[in-house]
Amino acid sequence: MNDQLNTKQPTAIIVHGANFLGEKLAEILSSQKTNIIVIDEFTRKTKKTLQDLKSKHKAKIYDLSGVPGLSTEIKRVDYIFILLDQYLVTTENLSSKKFLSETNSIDALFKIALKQSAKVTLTTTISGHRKLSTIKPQDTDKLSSDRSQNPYTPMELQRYAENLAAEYHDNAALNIRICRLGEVIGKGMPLDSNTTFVDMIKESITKPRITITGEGLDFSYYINSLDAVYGLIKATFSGKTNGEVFSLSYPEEISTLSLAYRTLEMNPKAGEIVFTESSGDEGPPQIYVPAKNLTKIGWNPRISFEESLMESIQYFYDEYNLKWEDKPSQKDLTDKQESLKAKAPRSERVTTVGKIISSVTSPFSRLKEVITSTLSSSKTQKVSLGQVFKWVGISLAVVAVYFLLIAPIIQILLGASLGYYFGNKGYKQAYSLDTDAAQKSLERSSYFTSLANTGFQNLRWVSYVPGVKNLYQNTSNIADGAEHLSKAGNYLVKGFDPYAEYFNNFEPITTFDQNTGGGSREYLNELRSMEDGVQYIESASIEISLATESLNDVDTSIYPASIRNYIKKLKDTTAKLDETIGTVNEFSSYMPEILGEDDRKTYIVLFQNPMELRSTGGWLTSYAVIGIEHGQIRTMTVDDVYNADGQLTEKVDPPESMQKALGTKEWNLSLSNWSPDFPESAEAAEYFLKLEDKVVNVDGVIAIDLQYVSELIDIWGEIKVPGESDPVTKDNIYDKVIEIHKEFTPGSTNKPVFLSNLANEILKKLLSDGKSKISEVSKVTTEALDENHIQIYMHNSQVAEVLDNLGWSGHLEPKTNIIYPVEWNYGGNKANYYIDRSTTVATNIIDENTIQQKLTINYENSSTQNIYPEGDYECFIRIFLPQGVTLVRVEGIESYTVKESSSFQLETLSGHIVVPTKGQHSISVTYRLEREDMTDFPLEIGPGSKLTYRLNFIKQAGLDADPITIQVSYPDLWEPTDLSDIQREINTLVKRTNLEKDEDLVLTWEK
Amino acid sequence: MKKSYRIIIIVFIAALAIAAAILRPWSYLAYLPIVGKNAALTVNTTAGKSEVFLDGKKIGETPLSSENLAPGDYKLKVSRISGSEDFYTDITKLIHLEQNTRTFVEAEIGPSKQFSSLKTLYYKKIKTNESELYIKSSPPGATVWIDNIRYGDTPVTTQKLDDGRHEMKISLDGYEDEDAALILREGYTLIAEIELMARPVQLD
Repeated sequence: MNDQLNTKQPTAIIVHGANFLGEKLAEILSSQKTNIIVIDEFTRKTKKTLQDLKSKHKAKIYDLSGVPGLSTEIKRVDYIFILLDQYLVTTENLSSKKFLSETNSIDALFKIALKQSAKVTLTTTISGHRKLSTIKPQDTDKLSSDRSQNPYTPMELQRYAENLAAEYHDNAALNIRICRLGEVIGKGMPLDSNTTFVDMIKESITKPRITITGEGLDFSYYINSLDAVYGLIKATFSGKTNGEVFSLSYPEEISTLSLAYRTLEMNPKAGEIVFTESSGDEGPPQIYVPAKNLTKIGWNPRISFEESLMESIQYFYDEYNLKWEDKPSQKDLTDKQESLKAKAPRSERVTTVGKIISSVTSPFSRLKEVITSTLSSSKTQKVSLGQVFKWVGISLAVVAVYFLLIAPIIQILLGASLGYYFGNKGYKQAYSLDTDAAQKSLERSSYFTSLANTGFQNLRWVSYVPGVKNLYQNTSNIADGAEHLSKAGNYLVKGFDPYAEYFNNFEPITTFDQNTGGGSREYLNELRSMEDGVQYIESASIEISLATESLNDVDTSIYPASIRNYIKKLKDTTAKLDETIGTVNEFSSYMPEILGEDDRKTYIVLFQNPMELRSTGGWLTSYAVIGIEHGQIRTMTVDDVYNADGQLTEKVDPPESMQKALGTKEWNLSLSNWSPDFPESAEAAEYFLKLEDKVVNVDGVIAIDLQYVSELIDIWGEIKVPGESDPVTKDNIYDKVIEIHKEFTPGSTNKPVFLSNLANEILKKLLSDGKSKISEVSKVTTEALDENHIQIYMHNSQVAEVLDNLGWSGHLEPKTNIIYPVEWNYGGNKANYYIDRSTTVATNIIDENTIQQKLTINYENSSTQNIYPEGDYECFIRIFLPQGVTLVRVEGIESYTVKESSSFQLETLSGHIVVPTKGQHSISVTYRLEREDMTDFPLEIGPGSKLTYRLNFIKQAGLDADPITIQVSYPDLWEPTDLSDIQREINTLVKRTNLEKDEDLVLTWEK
Repeated sequence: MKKSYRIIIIVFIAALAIAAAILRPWSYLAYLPIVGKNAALTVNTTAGKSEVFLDGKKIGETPLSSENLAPGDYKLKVSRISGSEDFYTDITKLIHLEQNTRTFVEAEIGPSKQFSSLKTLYYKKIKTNESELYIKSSPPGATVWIDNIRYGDTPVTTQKLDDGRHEMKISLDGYEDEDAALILREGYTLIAEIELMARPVQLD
């Protein structure tokens, strides 16, 4: 067969095609260059149609009985149309053999379709489905009056065919759709079907009446034959119909009574409508919901029901060889259509409102159809145990994949990126003192980093993959650390929120140039909120400690270099934060007290000029007294130190060491900072101010130097100060101070006026621009505290302890292997301002018990003339060394003495240095440290042959960040273990830096 | 089914999956009373009775044991009941209640903070199965002994110990010693915050 069929063209099989529908279908398909195969029973009735199909459309004809054998012969099939409806409406009950033959054919066709991937369209009837859906079990007998010989009804065949189609679709993915046709009317309609329509038309033509049994309220769906064909084509070629069941009919069903009226209108020859009694046992009308209409996919009947009715009547007349007299014209038909619409029962009329309601409710009707068909199909669907296990297994697998893979990945990606985004945002908001917004951002950051960490933990199973465990554990620790850090940030913002409030709301009621305070604005609420804030800072410190613990376990070496640096930076920053947060926490608990929460606090501020070097940083040029109560500045006065000393009425003897060093006979405020220990010097200054009746009770002393002031000015670039012709900048402030000193005479107010004006302007800038400059101000101030440009002494011993721990107190204490050179410029000039200084500490670790150290300081005086403020640099130097050292050699220091300082528990080597104008000078001190002579030997021997060496070089306040070189030579067999910031030169470790602040050096080796 | 419907359903399911991963609705089940995983709080004072407030709301008097509290951070205030109003200071503390654990607070309330002490022991869930300990004191630098073994000076960062009961003693020059029983649990860090009371100065 296939030799005759062109296999390059599509092939369509039409089963039960020997009828009008089949013929029309063949006509349309063959016009589209489709090979046609028609399968039907060879009977007298079908003979002519089959011959026409063969001759007109070159169709290949097969008998139905040969279907099972077709599968081996057909090489290509694209479409299969099983027009079962045509068979169903013209068939009475079937015998078992017939039923089996039909069902086997259908089964074989489905198999062919599967094999050939063909599209299948199965047509059945709406009326058959209606009967099937309303059937009651006890009514089964009523469908077949002759059960013994022909036990199967057409409905049962329909049911079998539809169910078989559903099974093939569900289990084998057969591409099939079912079209339930309404009663086919119009040209070519089957004339031998025993339907109400056919009987009515026949009667209207042959008899002068139309008989209706009962009330005529039974309804039926109809479809024009031509529309049916086009509908089948549409359904088959549409991509949306696979697996679907459609009704192929006019959308509305027509009642028998309505049909009768319409027939009478069209064919008045019918005469009248006669009602007869029904048998009475039909029961109440059953509600029937047909399958969705094919109009859902865009098909619409082209021929109206009235036209179809007219066609049908004409068809009957032609078949009976009768002439239709009084056939209505097209115009009459149109008029009749309109009038019939008007006369039609209300339910059959479509009004505008009805259309709107229909369009609104149609989705719900459709939903109802879906639910109904699902429920009805589910009622009949049997579920095997295997399917249950299969679905349970699939569900569990989906849940497991979601929770163990998909959700963690989403959590990690989103959590990490959003956590970082909100954390960054919160950080910036906090720095601009927008703490409310910062809290929200950091809470979100905390949430998302916690989310990312949760995702990591849910991916724990990954650690069992070979080679991934180490990476997973380290990354998990980083995630853990990040979560703790983000919580810490959240707590910190809450803790510092009161401070931000205080800063934002603060308005001083007095300034530096007013001696009396006034006004009533106080900040008690803000101070009390600071107490609450301490709790949050405490919680933050715990979180930071937990973060440090997690990050300490991270091995950065397993990561690529590009990431390693970020992780190392995170570790270092966290460790640093951990070191300071505890102390910040302690300090913050005292802030309310410091700001006068309970009573007025009085503080002395000493202005030190490092151009004339003194023990604590510089010559005491001026002082201020500030009174703070309830967070408000009550008093602020600035005065020159000589004015204060001018009121000293009693003679005070200087310390003995000062007398011997400088020959000083009288001591006063301007010389009070003789001790290099700031708390001691602060107490001395306080003593003098009390003697001079400048203060009564003092709670603390703060020293600031010109270096800090110049850095503050640099934040704004310049500051206009009243009384100054040009703005004050970082570059000219030193010159201005020198100028003022040149012009100074005791009793004049130039200096205090300038300083108070400058202080006022700085305070105004801080309060007006504070928010935008807060980060720069904080940075400059913190650096100044770390570098001793600001030193703070508090009477409250707990606060003093905190300041000691932070290194902000200027307190001199016996540290391990301390080297502390302290210079005092006694030349009466500012020569040290012109001195360039470089320091070298050369350590030779001879063995585990003996160390030799040499301190060398080189001076170069760039003064060009011996005229104030330049000139020879005459200095008294004291070098503090650990107790128990043995001096080997001293060079460059005149008349030096070595004495044990009991107050500091240190050795003090002191003497005089002179560096001439345009000259250079060097000093060196060589000494030995022996373990047996010292209680705190700088070389510690730890477990596992680990050796640790410590050196503490203290930088004198007021000095520039001069270069320093530290060299440590060690025995050959020692291996240094940590060389960060250190260079190794054979057996010597070298560190070169600029001494901005105290240098705490720790070196370790393994033997 | 139409392709557009399929796309809509797929997008909907994807959005639901992402939302569930972010919002974690299953985690809120643990807060239901029926599920029973809630937080508990015990507050004791060494002398006299005190009122206990959480976030400004009074929840009882000491000795207080409160169950079925929602996990989270709270502002705790302990206010001693006394005939002399304002004589005793109030103890305020930010405390943390962790799900399925008990937070323990013991306070000795004096006329000021310097004459008061406070011990707070609470848990934080960790991701591993170890039992960890973190001890913090105010002021810092206090020496810690656990089961008569010296563990260093506060803050004593997490020390991995066996779960179960341990006896802790903490001491600092100038302050009263403090003891506490530590119950370590697997999967949790026990955080002990000890505010030490200054020892009165002895005058010869």
